[in-house]
Amino acid sequence: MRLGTSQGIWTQTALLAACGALVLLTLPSEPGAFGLRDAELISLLLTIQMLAVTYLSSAVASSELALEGEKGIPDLAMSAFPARTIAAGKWLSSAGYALYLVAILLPLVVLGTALRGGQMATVAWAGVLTVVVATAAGVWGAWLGGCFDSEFARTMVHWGALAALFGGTAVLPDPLWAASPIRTVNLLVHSGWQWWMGVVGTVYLAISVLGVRLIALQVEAARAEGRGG
Amino acid sequence: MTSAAIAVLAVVAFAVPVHAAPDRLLTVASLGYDGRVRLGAWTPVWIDLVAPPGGVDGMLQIETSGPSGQAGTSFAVPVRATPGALLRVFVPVLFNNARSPGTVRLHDRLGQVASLPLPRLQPMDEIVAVLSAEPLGVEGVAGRLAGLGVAQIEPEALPPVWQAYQAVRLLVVRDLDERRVTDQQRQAILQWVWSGGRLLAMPSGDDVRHLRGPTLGPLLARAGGGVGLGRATVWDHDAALPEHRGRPIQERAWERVLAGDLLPVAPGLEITVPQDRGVLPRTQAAIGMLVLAYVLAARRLSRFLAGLRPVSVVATVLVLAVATGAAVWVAALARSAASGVVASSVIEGLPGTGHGLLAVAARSAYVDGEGAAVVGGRDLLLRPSVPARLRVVHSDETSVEGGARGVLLTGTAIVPLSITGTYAAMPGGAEVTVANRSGHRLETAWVYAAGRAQAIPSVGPAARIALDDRRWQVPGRLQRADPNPALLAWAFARLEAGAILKEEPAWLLGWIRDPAGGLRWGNRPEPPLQLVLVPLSAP
Repeated sequence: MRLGTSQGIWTQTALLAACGALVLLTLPSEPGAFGLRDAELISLLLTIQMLAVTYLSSAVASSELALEGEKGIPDLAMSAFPARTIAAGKWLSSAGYALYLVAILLPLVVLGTALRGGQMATVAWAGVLTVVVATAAGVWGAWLGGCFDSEFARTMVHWGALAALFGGTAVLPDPLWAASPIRTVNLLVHSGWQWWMGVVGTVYLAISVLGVRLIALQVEAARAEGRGG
Repeated sequence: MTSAAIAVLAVVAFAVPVHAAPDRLLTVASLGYDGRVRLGAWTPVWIDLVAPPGGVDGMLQIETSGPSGQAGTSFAVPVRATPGALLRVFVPVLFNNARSPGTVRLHDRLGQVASLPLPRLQPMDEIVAVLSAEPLGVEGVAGRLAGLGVAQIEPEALPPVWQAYQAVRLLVVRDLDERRVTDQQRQAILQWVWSGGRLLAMPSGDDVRHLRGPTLGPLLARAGGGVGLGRATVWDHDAALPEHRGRPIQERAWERVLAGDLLPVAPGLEITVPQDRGVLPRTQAAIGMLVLAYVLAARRLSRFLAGLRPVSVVATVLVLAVATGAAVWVAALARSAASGVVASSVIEGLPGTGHGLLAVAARSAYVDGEGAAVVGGRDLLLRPSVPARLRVVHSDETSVEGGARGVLLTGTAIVPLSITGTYAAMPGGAEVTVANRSGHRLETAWVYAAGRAQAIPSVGPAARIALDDRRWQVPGRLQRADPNPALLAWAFARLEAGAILKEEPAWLLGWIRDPAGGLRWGNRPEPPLQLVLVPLSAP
């Protein structure tokens, strides 16, 4: 649904164009402009992938980015599907969309990384981490979309949650800063994959499962309220 | 001529009597200037080699020690000789450790054949090299100058490459048997003086034949003694005679001729070398087209995938796999194109010689795997700018092997440069005439005079250019892009500081692409580009 609509296509085109422009603009155009081994540029590329995919996943799920045919929790609560099915469907659509975005970004991310002599394993692990974090953000975005009737309040809370996810976690003390997806990606580029990054991924997976449970509760509460009303 | 001379000396049995002990394959015939060297400067080393019973086809290598005794740069020359043949091999070497200078090794295809540790050296700041059978009284004057040593040398010990005079402040020639000097050694003296070297000649008693001989004749024929950047002085008396030696007037004459420090060739050129090669514009354009094509293709892919049919999913995976593979391939091509040598090359015209002094600073810039050897063009003697564990091979070209990425190399050569010109100031402007017989157009040219620069069109074989007083620019704020702005700024700074030739009223600057002065990255020639500085004389 998210892939075939014109808004969805324009959204992914904008994402690809931005990443493509980044790859091109950071090419060393003249001698001495950039080192081709510049790990910072790989880190920048993978961070932008993380930010963009996570934002799109949560913004689409919360209806902040309105895509034709995308149904929020209040609409789905009116359907005949069981609450757990609706919640699992939201998890699946978030994970699928994040996976799709990471997949279509893959050639550009690989180009940017390979140009600078980066490891393809780094791209793979960063992709996995991005999908897991974006899935969690998508599920929680869907839940937030069901919590607020006001578009303004929903947008504010959504951006606040994103700021907490990317900014707040980055300033946490050691070892809690590991919860920061940006710092984890940065470390992944500079030091390679480490076991605790798997723990971080598992935690975000658990957070997404918790979001599924919250959505199910939200659907059941909406239906109970409907029956009560 | 420089590298060719080394090759000839190395590969062909040299017809000089060799006094090697028969039980030793290697003997040091001459080391520096009678054992005196300047650490870090090109030093002449002559090795006598007796070919073993099976002959030899290999390398004579001098492995030097670094300043702290660690392995330093090796200098190698290919050698080939029949059994029992006697060779005298010349190797220009950079020493960095006087106490333990290094070891000479002879290798053939099967391994090491012989080795010989080099004796201790006498480190000096500068050397007065003297060709005289009699003492000249210069020792006392030199002794009063800190770091200056006097070395009595034989004609056979004269280096056949001009760069090996790097430590010599003055070459004094009183006795010279022309039969003991080769054409390469004569050429080296001539080119050294062109490049800034100072030579003093005098009669030997009443014998003045050597002053008109093939070695000194071309240098002393020029009135005033100015030859290129250097100076050749001739005394009309023999300083070895008792009526001159040690007398105050003679000592003052020595002081005058020894005054002034040696000027380094192209100081600071290293800072103008770019850190990396850029990605070529055509490679950038190709990457841009591929990225654009992929972004557009992804739009169609998205519509195709929206139905989530198995065939569309499989097709999407295939397209993404192909695109990702293509990205890896394109990146590898771009990285390969970005590997090679980055260099700053400048040729300073040597007035009255028809030649120029080429100075090169270069750096290996590669991003994958092992770096290739950096090979200098004919006559270019390359060296690491700081002690480094490299191998410098002198054959018909100089190549530097095993250079890690980023190691800076410098090199010098005397190259033909047939560009002359005049500068005439006029009311409201000036007129420049140029005769360019170099065979190369002078691109993106400038005229520099009195601290200002004016852009001029490219210069072909001949040009007469009118300069407008309103079009002068300050060198620090030039309004035109040049191929290597850092190198141009360096040249203008040298001109402003009067560090090149103060007496010239104006200079012509421009870029030429002469493959003879270029570098190679392994077997791949690098695009040559040299900044040429030509003094413009008054008409």
